[in-house]
Amino acid sequence: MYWFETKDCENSPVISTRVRFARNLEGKKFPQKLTGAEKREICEQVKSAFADEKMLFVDYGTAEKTVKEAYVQTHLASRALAAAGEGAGLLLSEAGDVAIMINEEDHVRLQAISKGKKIRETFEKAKAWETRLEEKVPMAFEEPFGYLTACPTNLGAAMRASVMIHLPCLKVTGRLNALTRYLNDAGFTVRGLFGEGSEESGAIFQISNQMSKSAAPEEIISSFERIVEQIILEEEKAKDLLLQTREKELEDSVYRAIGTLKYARRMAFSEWISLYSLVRLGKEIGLEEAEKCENLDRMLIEAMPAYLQLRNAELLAPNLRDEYRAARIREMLG
Amino acid sequence: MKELKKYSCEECGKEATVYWKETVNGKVREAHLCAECAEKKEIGKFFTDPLFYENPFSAFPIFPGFPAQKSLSPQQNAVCPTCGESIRRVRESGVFGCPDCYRAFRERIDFSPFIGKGYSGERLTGKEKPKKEAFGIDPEETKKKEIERLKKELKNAVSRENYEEAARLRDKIRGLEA
Repeated sequence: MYWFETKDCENSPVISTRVRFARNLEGKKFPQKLTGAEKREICEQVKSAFADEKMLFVDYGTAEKTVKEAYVQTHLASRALAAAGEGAGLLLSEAGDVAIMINEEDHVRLQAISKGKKIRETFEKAKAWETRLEEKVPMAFEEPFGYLTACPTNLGAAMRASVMIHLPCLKVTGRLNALTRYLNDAGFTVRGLFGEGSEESGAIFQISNQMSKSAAPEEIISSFERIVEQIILEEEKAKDLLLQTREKELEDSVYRAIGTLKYARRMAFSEWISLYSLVRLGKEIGLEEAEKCENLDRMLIEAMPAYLQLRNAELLAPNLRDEYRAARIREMLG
Repeated sequence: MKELKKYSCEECGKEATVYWKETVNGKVREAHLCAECAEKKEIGKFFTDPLFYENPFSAFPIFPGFPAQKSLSPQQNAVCPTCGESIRRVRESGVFGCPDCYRAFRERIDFSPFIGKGYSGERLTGKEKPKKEAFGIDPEETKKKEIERLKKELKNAVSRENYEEAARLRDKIRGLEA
């Protein structure tokens, strides 16, 4: 099972929440200085800390490219891990909501991920898993640095919180650039769906804290919660503006999008993501037909090319994939 | 005037206008590309990224405390006794060799841009200074959370009729509650 296969939480523009800790084992060189055998040893140590838990271990030395790509697209692992190769691995919880990357830039990158806006909850989950690991495997920590990481930008709490958030109104009204500048100044990063400058990301963005400097995790998470609330408020304002000035146009676009999703026989991912945006917005403003569309956020992730590929090994040709995507969307939307 | 050598794009064969060279952890990669393929590969994106200039490990050596362009004298180029990483290499790669590097280079690098006056939290396990609650979490609380989590899992296991798993979880919960 994976985190996205649960019921959608549609009361917020936040699609998913992630909290991640970077950790390194005491007395071991950082991954880039380790041999394959030394890295595998670290994998074993981390795995053994969760021996009493049902976990899935993916060996990145042998895993197929599609598998790695699917984990990138479903936000369970990074591109850097996919590139790390031998001695790197991914340890996944049974519920698919905790993902531990081993031997990426740091020995351990432990992440909890949830659907919807669950910042506090996700933080607590990540913390609980990190604590379990650290009780068994001592992690490098030294004052005044805090947790020691390969890159000093992660020092301190070595924690990153992020949300995947849908901001169509801020995008359409052109307010996003100003907001991005403001967020950057306040110490937060805004990126597209798949990281820096990614295309095909529709109106979906990832917002995360930058360097946490001396802040403790609790402080980081509180300020992150505040900033996310602010962004939601800005999106609401932009939505009101849009409704006042372009309501019919918006309604028309939403209904057209629903029509396409209901009847299309082939759906490229780039088309899907823009239609997704419209229908989700339609839901938020209470358009009747849009409200009937279920599982939008779930489909957003499931329709990712590599994930579809993974689920259906025979879908090698993009055409077939687009057909399957269209069918799956029709089925899921109800 | 000497004519510049023309390259063709390694991706599509058109005339290359972009020369790209990247050094990551000492590994050098380079390519000649046309503008389109370079864009697809997101080369050059860095320069539009507002964070780029703020990143202390960007291609411009603005690492605080370092003489940026000058070469380092042997004394300045200290080496970590544990992993053998030198300050020079750290500056080039942007990453340290091992946790001990921080101790080894502590006097030579100004870490304040990264950690301000020092990390204000504690270890998550709270082992260092268990009294401080801001960061060190209450072990009882963790246990409570863990039991809650296991109970949820147990419910799941039962609903899936996975009784073997359910029994295992039940025993674990009993163990924690004892």
